[in-house]
Amino acid sequence: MKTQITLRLKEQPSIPIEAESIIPENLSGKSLAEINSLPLWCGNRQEKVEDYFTVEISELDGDSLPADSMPKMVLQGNLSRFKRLGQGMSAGEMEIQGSAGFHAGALMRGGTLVIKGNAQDWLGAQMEGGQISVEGSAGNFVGAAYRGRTQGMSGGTILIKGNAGQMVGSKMRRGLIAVGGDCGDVLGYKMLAGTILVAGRTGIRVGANMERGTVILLNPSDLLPSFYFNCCYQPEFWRLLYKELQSKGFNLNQSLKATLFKHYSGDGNEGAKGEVLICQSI
Amino acid sequence: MTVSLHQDVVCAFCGSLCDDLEVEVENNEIKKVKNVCAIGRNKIMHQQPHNMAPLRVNGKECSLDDAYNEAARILTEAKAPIIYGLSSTTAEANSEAVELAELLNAAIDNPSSYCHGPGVLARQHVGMSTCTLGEVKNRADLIVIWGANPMESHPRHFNQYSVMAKGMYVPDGRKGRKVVAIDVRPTMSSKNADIFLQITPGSDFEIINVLRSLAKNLKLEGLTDESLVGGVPLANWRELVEMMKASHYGVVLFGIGLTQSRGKDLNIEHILSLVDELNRYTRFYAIPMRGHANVNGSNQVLVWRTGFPLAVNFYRGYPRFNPGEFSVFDMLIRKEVDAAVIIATDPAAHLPQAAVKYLQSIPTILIDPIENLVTPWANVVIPVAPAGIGTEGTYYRMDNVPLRLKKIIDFPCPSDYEVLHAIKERVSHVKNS
Repeated sequence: MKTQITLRLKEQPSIPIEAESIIPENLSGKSLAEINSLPLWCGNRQEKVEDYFTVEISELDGDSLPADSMPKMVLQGNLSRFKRLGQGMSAGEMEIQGSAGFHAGALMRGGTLVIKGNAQDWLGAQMEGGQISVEGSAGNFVGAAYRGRTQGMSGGTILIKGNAGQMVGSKMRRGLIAVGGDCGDVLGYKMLAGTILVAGRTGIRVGANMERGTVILLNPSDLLPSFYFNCCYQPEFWRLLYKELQSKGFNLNQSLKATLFKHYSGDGNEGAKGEVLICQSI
Repeated sequence: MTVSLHQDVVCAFCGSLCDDLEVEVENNEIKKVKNVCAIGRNKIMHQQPHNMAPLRVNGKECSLDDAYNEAARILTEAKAPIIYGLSSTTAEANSEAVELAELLNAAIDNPSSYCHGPGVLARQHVGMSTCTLGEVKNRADLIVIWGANPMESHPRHFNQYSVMAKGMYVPDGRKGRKVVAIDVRPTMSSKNADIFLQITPGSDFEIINVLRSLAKNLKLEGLTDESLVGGVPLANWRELVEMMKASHYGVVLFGIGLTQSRGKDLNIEHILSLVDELNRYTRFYAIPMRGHANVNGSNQVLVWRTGFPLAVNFYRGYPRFNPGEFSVFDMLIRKEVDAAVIIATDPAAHLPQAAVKYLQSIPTILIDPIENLVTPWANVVIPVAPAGIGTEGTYYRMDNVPLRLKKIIDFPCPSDYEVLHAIKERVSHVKNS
């Protein structure tokens, strides 16, 4: 039978905690005492998981789950002052029943991270694989590159039901980001490749300096004059993407399934090989 | 009575670092300053031994030793200390501050994280074609001033280095140069320009986007010559681009109007890309109009010591860099630090109220020559000899040229470097015992 490890927040930290040690592969196969003594960084001091969490290991019902599979991790409480949750995880399942702090799922390589509340800045920054789902909203730099880096997210999927901040998918290289709500300025800044979909409204400067990649907007938006209108069409891949999103629990309006898009190419200043698709029938 | 005249003194007020000042000293007191702007004169005349901040711990007068010990106690007990400021002190003191930050596992930042920092970040991504102010003086025949007002912020810049200066290949000075000012309102500087383009606030990115396209003769979707871009007709922007391409040596001097308007570092990435692209036609350069005298030096030293220019964090024992996460303003607003060393700056005058309010609630150590808005409530106040007046050291001008500052008069207190060094010694003593 598969096990579940539950970490219940018992005390809010006065200073943000860096908690990249709490990832499924790190907790897998460890005893309660070992998990309790895993390190967390509070400012410049090293503290322990037990200082902030009550840990419980329980068994999940269901025969279909192999006994040796990685335990499911559940974190409970308002973890908005816990940074780097799920950072670098490469397998397993982690669910945060509350909000998460900076860098949640950043550098992630595989597995699934579910955040029931809100996420903050650098959600899935430079992630390479896996899937992040956020029920609430996210901050700035979703799937973006850290300062000084040339490439952002290079694989995987980020699904946000609520809104996102600025610079979503900045310098993104591969993968998919979908935002159910609105997002801030410079969506897909300097994008290199990959796909971003925004169902709500966007801020200004969509796709500025993008080199390649696809930005799909379901609401009309003003583009910079360095984006050139090409045609109105129904891209073949849209049906596949629609189906894929639907299967991952990111539901879009049924009427969008066979919609037309206005196709713009840009940014002219960077070679105009990127594309912005704006939905025609909303 | 001893009277002495000091020549070629470097002024430590703004990023221009004028280095031709004449200072007259009588009985260890500065009596007269020549070849200086009004702001520089006031700063030098005010920073004299009789105007020093008091030496205090928790509001009570004390010895230097007591102050050092209390500072070391506060800092070693803190879980998340920050060292902030360093924009008006020497490169040597900056280097010592980095060592203290490393020893304490503290965060370290300077005011550039909320003034010219975006320009520094942009340079990491797209680089910067730049030159020295000497080259501007001797060669530039087109000067574009964007979001800056040097007449009021860097009063001698025009005469010394740019608009008015007579240079080797610009012997006629002002007559030999074309000057374009781009700003959201008319300023003292824009009055001196041949062309003033008054733009809509926050539209810089769109304007530069169009300029880049025009420079490369690309089409512009939906725009005609009459269309307004940032409140100015496209035809005017086309004229500016032609002027840029036709110049022999052009320079963009950009200020906080560009670094802190909507888009911040992206505005600068864009304009530096434009400057780079213009080099296909002519020589074109950009220089940031840095404010505080050594804020550039502070970036330079941080890069030299840690690899990163601002917002550096040593909490984990090694330097990490992430503006927005580790920059002073954001950390204070989010209440993420529990002790602060404020050195050679006045956060109470510069930062938003919420940040200052939080700073007031944590133990604070202030190292500054004169009283400022932090002095009344700082736990430890250590007065220091002002750099360039009471102590020598190195400053970096806005164009990255290092200049050596002189000591002119004696002060009854140590320098920033000596204070940081003493605190560092005590911290290492506490850590080792």
